[in-house]
Amino acid sequence: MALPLDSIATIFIFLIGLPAILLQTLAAEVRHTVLKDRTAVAFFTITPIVVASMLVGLGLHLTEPDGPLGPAMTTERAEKIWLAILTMLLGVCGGAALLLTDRWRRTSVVKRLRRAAARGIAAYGRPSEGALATLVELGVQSRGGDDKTLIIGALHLLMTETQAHESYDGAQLEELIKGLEDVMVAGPFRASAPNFKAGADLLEHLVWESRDRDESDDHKMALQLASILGREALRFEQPHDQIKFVEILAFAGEGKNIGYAMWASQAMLELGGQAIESGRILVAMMALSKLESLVYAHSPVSGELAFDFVGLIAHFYAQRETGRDYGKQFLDASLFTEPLPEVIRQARGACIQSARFRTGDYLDRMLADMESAAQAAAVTTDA
Amino acid sequence: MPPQKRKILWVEDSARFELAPLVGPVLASRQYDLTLAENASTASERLLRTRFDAIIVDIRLPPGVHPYWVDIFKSASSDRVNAKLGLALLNWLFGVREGGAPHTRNGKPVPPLPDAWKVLPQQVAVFSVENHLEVSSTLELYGVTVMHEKRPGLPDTILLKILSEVLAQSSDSTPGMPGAPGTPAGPGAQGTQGALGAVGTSGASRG
Repeated sequence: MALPLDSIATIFIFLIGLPAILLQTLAAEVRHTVLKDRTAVAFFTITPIVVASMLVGLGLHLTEPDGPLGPAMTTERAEKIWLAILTMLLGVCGGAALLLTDRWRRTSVVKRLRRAAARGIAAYGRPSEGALATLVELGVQSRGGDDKTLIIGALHLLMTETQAHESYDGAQLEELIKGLEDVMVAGPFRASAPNFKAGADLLEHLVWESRDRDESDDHKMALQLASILGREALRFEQPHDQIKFVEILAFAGEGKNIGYAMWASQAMLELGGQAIESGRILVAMMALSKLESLVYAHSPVSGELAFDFVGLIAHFYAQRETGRDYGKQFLDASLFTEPLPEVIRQARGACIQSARFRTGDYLDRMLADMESAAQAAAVTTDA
Repeated sequence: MPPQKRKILWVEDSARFELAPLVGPVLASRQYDLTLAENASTASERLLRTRFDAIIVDIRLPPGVHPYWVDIFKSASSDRVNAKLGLALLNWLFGVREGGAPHTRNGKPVPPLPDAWKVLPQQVAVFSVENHLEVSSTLELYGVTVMHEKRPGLPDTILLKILSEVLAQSSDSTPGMPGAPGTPAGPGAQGTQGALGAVGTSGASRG
């Protein structure tokens, strides 16, 4: 039998074109990530072609007149040999297709990146920055929903492994936390409600571990990110996930370090204030309740904790009568080391320094009303 | 000193559409510091890290991520109704283990609560769709006496009602325990741990 050149040529054309066709079927962000590792792409493209070439060479060697089967070679035997070789070549085609399809699936790509990042944890106590950056970039470019959830899940596993490492001292997760922020709020595609839930779960587990440390930069960053993500989540209708961010802040603020309470109170002011402006009243009420508990735990309070508390009350005060009445009942002078008007005055000054002009305006209005009421009461008393 | 707010844990996953009417009254009362946990894993992690004055538990719960609760859930064919993870949570809180060993499934333990803030059955209420008869024997086994069924027509203040029942009966705790009448609050009663206050009289009741 003559060499089945047509069949062999078809198979080789398939093997050469297979990677290109598969790459075109991938989502753009997955393709971009896969092509970053050009060595691997070249390896998995060339290897099936090399295997196929070796099989063809084997067939040629076996069927040539001077080959090992030379004297016993007949036309029938040659046909059978080439049939077997072609079957094996089809197996190579099928195997290559399955291998590349599986390897270049989104879940496999994410798993490989996570494992690559995890190698850094074993070696240095924190995820490898290169692999982490690639993972985050993939997450930024992914659509909201399952695609982003996959990335957040990988980040969660990396966080857990990092915190479980013996060298973890509360400061190895900066890049991961920044990456989570980028995945959730940067990029062309918005995160979905389940993505925010997954992000909240990650932050919650992070603060569970870091809260009881005397100092932790990761804890501070987690608090700040919880405020950012909580505010982003306000665009959804259901308050359940939004409230989760409030609870993360409240829990994180109950740590040993008074600094944690201050960071938490600032974050709760931002989240609660934005919630009330967005009409998410229940979330704002929860933030105020948790902030009140924080104040109770450290009362009498002064400084930032006091300023954030009266600042959030001022947001309620700025609403119409019902919100105003609700906010006013939280103004208990016994909670503060200084007289209430002085606390509000100082809080307004702090708002200027921290660029919270809207809160400052609300505090101004509340202070003016308090002073008017005090003057009116004084006039009535005199009369 | 300002009054300490009672720390409450509500373990509930399916209140998404009624959160505002149910939680609103609790927040507006300003007497409670309410925390929500939507699955068994989150509930157990919260209980391990914070002392609560009262806990309201739903029976049909998702497991969350902890392998212990996931294993229980899977052994009930991954069905929330069959798994009754709320009762498993009560078993973790009150079930007796030989030698005080942690509850373990498939080698994954959930440690017991610290002695400093063990939860008493009087501090727990069940708020679930199950009929009381379906779960009464289990609740009696653990000493939980407050149960309310979820049914149409309940007032929005139902959580407040449940809390007042639980806190009334839990304030009648054994003399010498933190927060009992006449005793000072126990260690760490401020900050993360809530203090049991001496309020009202005991009253075991169901809905």
